[in-house]
Amino acid sequence: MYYIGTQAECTAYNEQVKVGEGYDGVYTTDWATPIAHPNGVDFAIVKHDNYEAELTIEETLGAEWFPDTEL
Amino acid sequence: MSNNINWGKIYESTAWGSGVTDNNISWGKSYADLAGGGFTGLLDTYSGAAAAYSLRQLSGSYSGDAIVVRRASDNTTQSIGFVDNELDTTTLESFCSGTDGFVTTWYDQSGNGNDMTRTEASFQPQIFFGGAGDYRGHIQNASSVFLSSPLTLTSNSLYTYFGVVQNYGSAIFIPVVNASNSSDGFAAVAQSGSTTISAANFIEGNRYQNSSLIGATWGDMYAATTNFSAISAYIEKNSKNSFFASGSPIGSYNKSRLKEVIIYPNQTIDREGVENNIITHYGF
Repeated sequence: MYYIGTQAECTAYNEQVKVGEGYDGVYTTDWATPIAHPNGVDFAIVKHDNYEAELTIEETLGAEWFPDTEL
Repeated sequence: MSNNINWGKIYESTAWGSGVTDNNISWGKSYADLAGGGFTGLLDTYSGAAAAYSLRQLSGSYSGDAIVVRRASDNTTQSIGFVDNELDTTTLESFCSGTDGFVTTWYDQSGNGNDMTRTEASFQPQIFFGGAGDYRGHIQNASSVFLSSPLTLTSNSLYTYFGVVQNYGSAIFIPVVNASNSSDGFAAVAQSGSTTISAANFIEGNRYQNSSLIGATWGDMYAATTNFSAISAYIEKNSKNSFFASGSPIGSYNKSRLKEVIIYPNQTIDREGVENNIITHYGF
């Protein structure tokens, strides 16, 4: 499951999970790095089971997110 | 004239004998045992690896741990080493009891310091499945989930890859090499179906399963890796550098399980010798 939003929204979601989970900052520093859509506008971030956000949710990311790959 | 000396009695009566629990010296151990850890690993026989990762100990002189594991229940981490040259599963199971465990670090046993790591929790491969099979003997990649090595595969260079791998999905990237983005190619790919996967930026070389040449298509590779086996591949880089990793950066196509990954910076390594070591150890 992925949340779709702006870069700022996805970064904020990472911070929400990071703070909530209290990662050690050494072996684990973040929940996830937002993934950029080639359109330059949209970003996606993996959803954590225990943290909600008011963002669009998608089951998976389609091939349009990875246009360089021939699949 | 017979020798009446009772060597066993003398042994028992010395400080090296019974009752000295912290003394690891015994009459039957060799100098090599005492100096180097007591066994000859794959890397002792086949030296020169650029990087070597495994859930077994690969060298008698390697004294580090195998992995660092983060448990999901409280996000604390624990280094897991070896017992009798195999992963210390007792410590792993105790640490992860009742929760999931994820690998943050897979140590490089080659001595080159190319430890594989992933600092993002959501992308760390799973090794312990709390309540559902627990430890299964492998590290499991998934969508965007893999470990990255600092090892650079340099342009126009030759490499030989060895892996103990299995696919568990419709399309996977097994002995994977990635770069900064998903278009920079893969050393070997296994895939079901008729579509093709770009292997740009690599010059294709032969691939083997359990020391036998596999057919040339990715579909052949997929069929070969339904179960765990010893996969090896000759890799030739083109004009671009790439980074080594345990899996692919592509979002949804990374369903592989790993027990061991070793890469040599040449194609002169005794491939069959390494394969035979792996085949013998894992019983393939």
